Amino acid sequence: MFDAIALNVSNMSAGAALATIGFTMVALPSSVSGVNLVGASLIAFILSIPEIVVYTMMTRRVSRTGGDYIWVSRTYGGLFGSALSFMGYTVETMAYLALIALSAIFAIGSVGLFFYPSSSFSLGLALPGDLAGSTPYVQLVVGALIFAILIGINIFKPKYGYRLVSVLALVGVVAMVVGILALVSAGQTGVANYMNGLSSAVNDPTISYNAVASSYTGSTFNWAGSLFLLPFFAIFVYPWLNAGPAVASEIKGTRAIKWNVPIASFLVMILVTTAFGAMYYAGGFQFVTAALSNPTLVYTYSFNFWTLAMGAVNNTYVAWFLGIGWVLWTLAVLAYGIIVTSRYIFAQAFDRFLPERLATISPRYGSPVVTLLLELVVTVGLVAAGAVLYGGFQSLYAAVIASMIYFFFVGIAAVIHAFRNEKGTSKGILSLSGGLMAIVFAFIVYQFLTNPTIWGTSATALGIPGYEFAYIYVIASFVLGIVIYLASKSYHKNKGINIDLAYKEIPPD
Amino acid sequence: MKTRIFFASDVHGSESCFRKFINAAKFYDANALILGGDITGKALVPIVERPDGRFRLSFEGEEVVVKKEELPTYIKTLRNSGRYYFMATEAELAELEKDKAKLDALFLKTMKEVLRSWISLAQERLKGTGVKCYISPGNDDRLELDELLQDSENVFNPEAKVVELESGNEMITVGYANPTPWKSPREVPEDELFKMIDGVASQLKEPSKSIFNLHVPPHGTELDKAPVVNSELRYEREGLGQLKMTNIGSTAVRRSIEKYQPMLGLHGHVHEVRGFIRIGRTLCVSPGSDYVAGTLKGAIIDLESSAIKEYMLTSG
Repeated sequence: MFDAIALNVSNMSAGAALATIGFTMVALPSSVSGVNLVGASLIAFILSIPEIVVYTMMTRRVSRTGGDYIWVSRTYGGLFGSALSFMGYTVETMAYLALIALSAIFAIGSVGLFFYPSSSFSLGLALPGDLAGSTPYVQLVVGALIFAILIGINIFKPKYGYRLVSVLALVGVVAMVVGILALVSAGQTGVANYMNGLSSAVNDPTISYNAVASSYTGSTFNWAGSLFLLPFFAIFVYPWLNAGPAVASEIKGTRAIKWNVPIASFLVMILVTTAFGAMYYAGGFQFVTAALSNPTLVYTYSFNFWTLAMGAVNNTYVAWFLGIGWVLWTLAVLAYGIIVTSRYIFAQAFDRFLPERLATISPRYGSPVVTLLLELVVTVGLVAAGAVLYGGFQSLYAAVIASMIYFFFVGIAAVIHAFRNEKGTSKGILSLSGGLMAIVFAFIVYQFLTNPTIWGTSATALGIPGYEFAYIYVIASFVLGIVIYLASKSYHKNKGINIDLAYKEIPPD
Repeated sequence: MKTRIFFASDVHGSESCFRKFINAAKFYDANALILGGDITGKALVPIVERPDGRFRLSFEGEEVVVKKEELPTYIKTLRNSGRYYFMATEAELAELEKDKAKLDALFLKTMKEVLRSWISLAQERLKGTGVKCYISPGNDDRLELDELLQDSENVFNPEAKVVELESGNEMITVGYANPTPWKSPREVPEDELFKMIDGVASQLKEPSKSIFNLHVPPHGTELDKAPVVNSELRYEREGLGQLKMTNIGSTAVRRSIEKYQPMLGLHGHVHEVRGFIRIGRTLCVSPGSDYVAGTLKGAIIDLESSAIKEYMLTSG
């Protein structure tokens, strides 16, 4: 059960969310105010409850490697189901991993900058790639190196793959709890001392505690403002319940299958909400809101939960632990992503949608070498696109829309499954939850599309705005999925096998 | 001649898995069905009638009390997940719990009844289709079941024999396993297992075109990785609680494959694993098992001119 929960906790990238919220807050239009992150986190969690129910019920009913890919492909059939999963999970996850790799680079740069403020190397890593002082090519090299090392571990020492996720996630969770306690114990005095010290050190009175706090005059909670942040929580946290289910057939024990999704989800909700709450408790709502919306603080001084806790705690050892914990949390997400993506690719190769070669385990290393190398090449390519072409991880937000569309169809698949296979209360609960889940994700997709420069970037490269590039990536991956399926079907038909049969249930009677 | 094999294993008493297995012939257009052992279930669930007319039973790890009209749904779920059941009163159950031999006899009787009904079903559904169905015991199947697994018009027990498929390929079958923590009915030391396999394989006319239907997968491959089980039959864990994995396959199976280099190896035994590997020129396939969910995992293998033309894992 621990592994399954650790996988899901890593999947729900709480550590990265707490680090990157400022980039979104800075980008919000002035019409959006009263964004209360505690309220927004709770709203997002409540809206994810139908999905928690769907994943819990479906995992118990169809516990197979590939998880929701199996539910989707069996419900919609090979052509649409495979293309949808290919777009919404297999290919999108690689974009998400590129996003997290860039956020790991941001974490490394920020921690370096915290301890060595004059380090231009750290600044180059911490700044978005399109700002002066950033070093996008170094970001690319560091990102590629990190990902290559993790891929290397999975190739040469595959048995350490799960353990690595568990260890990294555990350190990340402990660091987050320590960060929360550090902020609570430091209180307003600790936060004010840190900010005033920073203000004096860089000789910038506009970032002193009082100057920042007094710059916010809005309300402490606004429904529309808080709801506006739903895509942020969708990108990083609450919908990502599919890691445990993807390895469901490897989970031992009915308790683990039954509880891994709700426990992981609830745990992450507590962590994320409490962490934002601790920021408000220590720094005050006005200060935290203003600081997270202040471009100088967010870009130049990497202001976020982690750096605020590191500064307010006033203890070098604890600050180092927090910094390392932040970096390790992002690495946990990458380590998890590598494992789970390979499971999806395996399931798709077993179904003959993807080439058999991608389900082949190297007899020498005992790992899927080709699959892992494919993940490496695509992800590093996307890190390059994000860092060099479009200036940072935010540019990859728009690609996450693919998963939101995918989750919409997972909800519909649950409804179809309920009507086909369930009776009585189970039918009612699953169909209602599936329907609500679909509505929630339809709304999130709407939010993405109506604010493409917030949930994406307007930065332009090769004459294409970043969000359009991401949408092209999403559409191209769906079309590619269709093409691959039809090509595979034709290829296997010539050899006498109808791959459509892999997506159909044999009638028992 | 072209032959399409549908291979599955480890259905462990699951009614829906067996029915799907038989229907796989028509569904996948297969002309040879091979069930590679571990046919029978592992649990017998008492359903106790209460004085109030309702029924008490253990269901998915919980004690539940259900109305008479709900009972068929529960029984269907039990049977589809491989659990047998029997009806009893509280007094009858108490007596059985005291007398383990009587309980064991009831378990065996139930196993036999189900297996008998399955063989009848296979004969009835496959009659006149030309499909040959090979059902052999695995290490978990008790020796007393062999009397039921007799050859008929279209259902055959290929255990410890060389049988010739329509494609002309010879197939040998051994359902015995190397020792397991469960001390199952058909286990022998590795050396003895090798002798058993070798004794049948040495009768092959063309080993290079043969099929080795050996229940246990070859040792030291991706097909034999399973969680370590301790002497108390609990999964061992390591580090932060991860399942400790090890290779539980047979060195005898591996040696025999390396010695004879058959065209195809068909394996089961390790439910968690699903895939295909090569040992030299031999393609070894293990479809895995998800009998608890009532899902039949299988493999389609097309043979043509004594060569493997194509293969695909299935799950349905």
